[in-house]
Order: sequence, then C-alpha cells, then structure tokens
Amino acid sequence: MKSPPEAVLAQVLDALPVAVAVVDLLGRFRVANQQAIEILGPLDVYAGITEGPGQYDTFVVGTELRYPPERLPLVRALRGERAHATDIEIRRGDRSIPVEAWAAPVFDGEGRIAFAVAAFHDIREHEASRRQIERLNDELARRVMELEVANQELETFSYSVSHDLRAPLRGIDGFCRILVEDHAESLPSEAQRQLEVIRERTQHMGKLIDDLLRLSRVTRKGLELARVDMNVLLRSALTELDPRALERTRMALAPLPPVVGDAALLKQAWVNLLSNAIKYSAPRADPTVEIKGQAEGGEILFFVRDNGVGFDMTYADKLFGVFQRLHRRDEFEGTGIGLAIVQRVVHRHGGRVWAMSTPEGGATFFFTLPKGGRQ
Amino acid sequence: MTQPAGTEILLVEDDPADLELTIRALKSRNLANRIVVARDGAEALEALSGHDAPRVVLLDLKLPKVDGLTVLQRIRQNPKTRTLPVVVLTSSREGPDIARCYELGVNSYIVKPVDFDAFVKAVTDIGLYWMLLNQAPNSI
Repeated sequence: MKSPPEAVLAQVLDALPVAVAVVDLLGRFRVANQQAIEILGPLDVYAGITEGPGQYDTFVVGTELRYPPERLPLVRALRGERAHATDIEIRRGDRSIPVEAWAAPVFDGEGRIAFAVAAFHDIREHEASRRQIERLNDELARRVMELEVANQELETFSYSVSHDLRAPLRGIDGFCRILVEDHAESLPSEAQRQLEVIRERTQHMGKLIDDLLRLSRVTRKGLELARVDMNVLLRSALTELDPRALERTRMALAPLPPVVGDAALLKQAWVNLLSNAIKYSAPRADPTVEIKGQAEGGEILFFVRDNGVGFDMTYADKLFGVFQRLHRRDEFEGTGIGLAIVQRVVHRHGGRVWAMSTPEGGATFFFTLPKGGRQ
Repeated sequence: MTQPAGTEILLVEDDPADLELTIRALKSRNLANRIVVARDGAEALEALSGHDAPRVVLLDLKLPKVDGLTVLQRIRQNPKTRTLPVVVLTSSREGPDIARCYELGVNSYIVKPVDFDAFVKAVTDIGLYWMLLNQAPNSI
C-alpha cells in the first residue's frame, strides 16, 4: 500500500480528538497536530523546527513543583518505556492546562529508538469535576459524621429518657400506693381517690414515654427487608392485643397476600391498627373488625374496617400526627402516638396510609406497600 | 425443711426509692428475710467476695463507681460465682444493654414497670422463681 503524502497525514492528525506530538532523540518537536499546538503553543513543526526555549513549562498538577524531566512521558518514551501520566500541568503565559498524556517509543528500520510519540488531552473539565466531587465527598463525609454524632446523641437521649424519666414515675406511683396501703384508715376517701388520680396520671406518663420511644425506634431502626407472610404476622399481632377485648370482637380475616418488608415494623403497624379498631368498636353491641388485602397495580392494598364510633373527616388530617387525638381521654384511653407509628412504618416502606370514616359509622384504615418492596 | 444459712438475695440498687419499693415487694411475699443491699457496683463486688454466696443477685445496671454490666462480667469471670443466678432489674428497655447482658450470661433481664402493682408482681415472681422453684447447680 502506498503511504499517504505528508499533507494528508497532517489532516489525519488534526482530525483526531487528542493532541499528538512527536519528538526526536534530541527532544525536538518533529510533528504536532492542531490540538497539540493549542495546548503547547505555536510550533512550526512541519518545517522541522523545535519549540522555542521557555515556550511552555510543566508542573505537577495543582502545585508549584516543576515536573521532574526524567518522569515526563516523552522522555520516558525516548528511554524505551510506554508511559502514562495524569498529573502534568502545562503552563504557557497565564494559561495552565492539566493534561493526561500517553507516550510510546517509535523505532526505525533497525529496531532502534528514533522518536517518541505522545498523545495528550486537556483535562481541565475533568479536573474541575474531580475537584468538585472531592469537595462534595468531603462535605458528605462531614455530614455523615455529624449525623452519626447526632444519632449517637439521640440514642443516649432515648436511653436517658427511658431510664431516668421512668424511675421517678415508678417512685411516685409506688409511694401513692404505699400511702393508701399503710394509712387507709386515716385517709378520707376523697384523698384516696385523689391518690388514685395521681397514680393513673403517672402510669399514663409511663405509657407516653414508652410510646415515644417506640416511635423514635421506628424511625431509627434499619429496614430489614424480607418476604413477609402477612397472615402469620397478623396472627402474631393479635396475640399482643388485650385478650378480653379481642374475645368480644368478631374478627373477619380474609387471606392476605405476602409482601416484602420489615416484619418487626409491619407487626407494630398491625398491632396499632387492630388495637384502635377494637378499642373504638368496643361500645358496639356487635363489635366487628374486618381485614382484607389485595394486589392493586404496583401496590398491595390492605385495610382494617371496624363498625365503631368513627370520626369526623374534617379532622382526618390530624389523625396521623404525634399526640393528636380525636376523642376525649375519658371516652377512650390512648397516647395519640399509635397512628403516627403506623404512618412512619408505612412511609418507610414507600407506601401510603389514609382513613375514611363518618361519625358513628365505623372507620376504615387503608395502607399500601409497593409490590416487591421499597424501590 | 432446713433453712439454708447466709444471704439469700443480694440486691444491688442505688436509687433509694426503688430500693424501698423492691424490699417492700419482696417483704410482701416473705422473701426479704436474708437480704443484703449493695448501693453501688463496688459494694456489690465486695459483698460477693465473702464466703457465702447469695441464692440470687438482683442487679440494677446504672450504678455509681462500677456499673452493672461490669459487675455481671466479674461475677461470670470468678469461678466461685460463675454459676450464680443474676437477674438484671433495670428501668431501661433501650440501648445495647439487653443483648450485652445476655452475652455476658445473665439469667433474666427485667424492665421495671412504672405501675407499682406490676412492679410488685415482677419482683415477687423473680424472688419466688429463683428462691423456691429454681434448682441451683450447687444444691444438688
């Protein structure tokens, strides 16, 4: 095959998306394409003229250190190595361009090194994004550390709440009880009633603390996703309910489809939904709770329906708030945290939760879980 | 039936109110005849270094000086007390304590209820179980 003429080769080189330059054994530039001239400065290469002294300088990228000449890719290539470098910065005038460069020796007909060829390209954009990524990574690492510290503080706080707030409550409750036991004769019945109120309020605060901790655990706990048989989970949730209330209630359970989720968290959601349904249908002559589940598009929909006292939909937005209650305490006991826990569990699984009701017309609580688990 | 001599219960508790409530609960079931109280972890270890080991140790976790987990660890490390029944009685269901206690070989881990009636029941159940029902390895 006939070699293309030099003018054609020059066009070929200019068409390449990288800078290409060839030096001879004395380090003189013999070939350079447009991209190389763009980076290194004008070199009258096709006339075989070398670069002017001091036309450009090489530094270690991002520093004021001169690049060691013996490590320059072209110099290494002249020694017979194939070289690659990503830490060179080329400075010319007030321009500085970081480059990535490859170089290889070129041999003559007798196998002796005659030239070295380098291919290199401007990595300013690449460098800028790399620095940006580094900055973001540092920022992220800092945030993660802050979060870890905050989480640790939260753990400690929960521990203190659990331990240090419960202990005095036990003292208050216990000594009220002891007061009644030891001094029943000398205490008027009104005083005994008042002591009972103190005890009841103390125990309520104990429940509030327990429920708050449960809520914070639901948020902190890592999701352990697995295939969950909702029928098994539901039966296990039923064992945690007040057996006397459960006995009075007709439970209509349909077979439920399986889901992918965190069994412990989902069980807590079932316990809260079921205990609500039982609690609010208890005043009925025939308290009934119905549970169903079915696949609907990409979701699995579950609902718990009761024939209880229901609620006014005007207040539906308050239903899932922490400490929000739609009933007076002397009507129904509760801490106002149960549904907040349900909502957090469902949201953490990537699902939705809502309710429909009319006053005295029962209530239905719906929740969905994404088919195949959280995406 | 011959009464075994010596301490029956070592109660390790720093909170005076909890201490009074616990002793009262044990007394209500006649379980407080030979009870030794330690008010911190160091006292507990001191009490256990004597000749007669108690039948059961009721151990709070949050203690001054030497904490409950360390007391438990020392009890399990000492050949003399290695098999001694230890029941952790604590206010907290939070934190890594539960898992850690079982790793260290606790016999039971009880969260003290706020409700005094439930508390009395928990304490007396523990007392009855470990004092009357449980067969200790050294009593065979």
